[in-house]
Amino acid sequence: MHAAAAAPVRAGAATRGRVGFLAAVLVAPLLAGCHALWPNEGGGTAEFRPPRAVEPRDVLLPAGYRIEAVATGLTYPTGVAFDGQGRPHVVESGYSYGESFTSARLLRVEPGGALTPVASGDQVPWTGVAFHGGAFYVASGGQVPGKPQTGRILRVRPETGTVATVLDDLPGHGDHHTNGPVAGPDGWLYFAQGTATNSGVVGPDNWKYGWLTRRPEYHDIPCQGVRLTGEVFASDDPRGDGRGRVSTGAFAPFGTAVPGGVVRGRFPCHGAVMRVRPEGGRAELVAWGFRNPFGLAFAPDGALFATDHAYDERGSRPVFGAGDVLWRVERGRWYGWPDFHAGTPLDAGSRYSQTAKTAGLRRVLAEPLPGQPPPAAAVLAVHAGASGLDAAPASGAFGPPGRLFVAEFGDQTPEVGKVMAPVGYRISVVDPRTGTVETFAANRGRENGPASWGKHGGLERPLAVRFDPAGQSLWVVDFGVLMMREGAMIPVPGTGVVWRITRAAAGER
Amino acid sequence: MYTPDARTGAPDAGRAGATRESRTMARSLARAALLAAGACAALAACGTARRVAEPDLRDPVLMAGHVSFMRNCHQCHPRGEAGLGPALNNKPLPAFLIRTQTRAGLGSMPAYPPEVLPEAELDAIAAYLVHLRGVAAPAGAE
Repeated sequence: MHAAAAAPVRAGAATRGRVGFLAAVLVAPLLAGCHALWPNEGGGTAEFRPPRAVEPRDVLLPAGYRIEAVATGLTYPTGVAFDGQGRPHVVESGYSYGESFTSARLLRVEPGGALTPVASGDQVPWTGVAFHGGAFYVASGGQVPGKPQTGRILRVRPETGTVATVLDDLPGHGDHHTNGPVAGPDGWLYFAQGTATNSGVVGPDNWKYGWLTRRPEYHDIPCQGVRLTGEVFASDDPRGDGRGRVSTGAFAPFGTAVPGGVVRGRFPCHGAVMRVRPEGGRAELVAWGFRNPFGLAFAPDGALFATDHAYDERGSRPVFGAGDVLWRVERGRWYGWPDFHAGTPLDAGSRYSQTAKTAGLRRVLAEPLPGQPPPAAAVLAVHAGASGLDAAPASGAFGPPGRLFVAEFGDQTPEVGKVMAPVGYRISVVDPRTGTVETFAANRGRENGPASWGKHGGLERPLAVRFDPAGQSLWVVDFGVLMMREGAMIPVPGTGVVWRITRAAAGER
Repeated sequence: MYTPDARTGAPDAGRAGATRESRTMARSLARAALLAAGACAALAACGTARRVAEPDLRDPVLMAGHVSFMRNCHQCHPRGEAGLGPALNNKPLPAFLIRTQTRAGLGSMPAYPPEVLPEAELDAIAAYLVHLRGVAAPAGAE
């Protein structure tokens, strides 16, 4: 090109460059204040009025897949499993955050979507289900007011609906419940127990969650002895007239300030993955130091993975910016709770204490630590609510074998912190070899969010995923609407849905 | 600020006082306008949360940036979208400013020193983010 002809082009480009640079210089510092400037935009803050619309076309999938609603009108569904004949069954929890109590049920999903009750229970919540050796196994919590209940693993005979206790006395009363179970390749039932608190210290947030009013003496239990630094945390005291102040230490009842020293470990304990024989007997510790290991799944190569709901910015010891974690679970290891996140100590710089609420975050465990936490297999979004997961089967009929599909329940802000846009509310797929996280199923629209946010008929709060026995379809349990208000969680019964995702026929959407 | 006195240069004390007052008011108005414009710009920078399709990652540098982004950035900016922090996939930051902000940390974003995020990884993340801005939204998410 002739130089004279090229000159105006260069001048235009230079002008655009200068403008772009100036815009960039302006935008860079402005970005710094975004989190502080922006109001909370959590997905649960949207207003919802029943009935819930259900519209598969509102869910975006990769090319070559299709989604359909299999069952609707469920109340707080938490898991799905298939009996020996390949028939799908779903559990309803019987409880939701927001102190909503209903009846826990195991329901068979008939062709056409009708629901046939198989079994029920009053010890809630039922947080997951597996089928193994001709019976269903259910994880059951202990949240009913006025009843001295514990977490359990239950066996349900599908032909009679009889419910028997396989394992009792699990500490399932706190913020997080007894989770799982899943049958391992070794024939054992693997299950998990979440922690009582956010980060080891009982606080006013636990009063709001409900259990502290029922169990004022309750607190976290380590699986092995730990030495404490003696840190105590001052908070409001919601008991009595609600105007008092208390100091509380880690692994201690609310209002109990413990000096340093050793806290004895006990079993069963909180924040652990355990296993038990299907016929019952003594449980064994697999690994501990988790926060709320909600989803468990074995990959085709036999590796055990767990999702772990990471710390919230709430309570007496709030933590900022901790993304949910996917762990590869190794027997005998400690995974770092309550002083590490994804292998990083909480007092490493100011990474986890960037807000006024979290300033001065210090460790509660003194040396020697129970171990060195490993790095995470993947870190998902902060407050995503990474919950149920399953591994793509070895057949490759649905997708690359071993890819992990994760149901993201969605943020529960403002209860747990603040976000600038709805987080979660989708199915992600993780490559555990690289730790990369991709979207597999999410709602349409310019912004991500639950169906109630987008005012359409897509996904609301995905809580569990499970491949059918043939490995050809992925079933998604959608808990339904849980609205979040300042100081209140409002679940809406009858809004749960079970979805099925399959490979689309050639030429189909 | 343009005023009649400034234009004529009349030596009237009373009018001069009024002029000073009107200048002060004008400056205040200008400052307020600047602040308002700044606040609008800040909110605009924070607010837009674009969704993008899965990017083409055949370039090994982009793939390395993608993997490192997932390890270090995804949790607050899921897939470059807004989450705990603002969206990154639509901000006009050149690579050197992405590197500067990551190293220094600003606002609620922590600093990532070289011992946490080596230079090559940071370069790859910057390249990945610049690439991400050019990726179209998937059908149904425009």
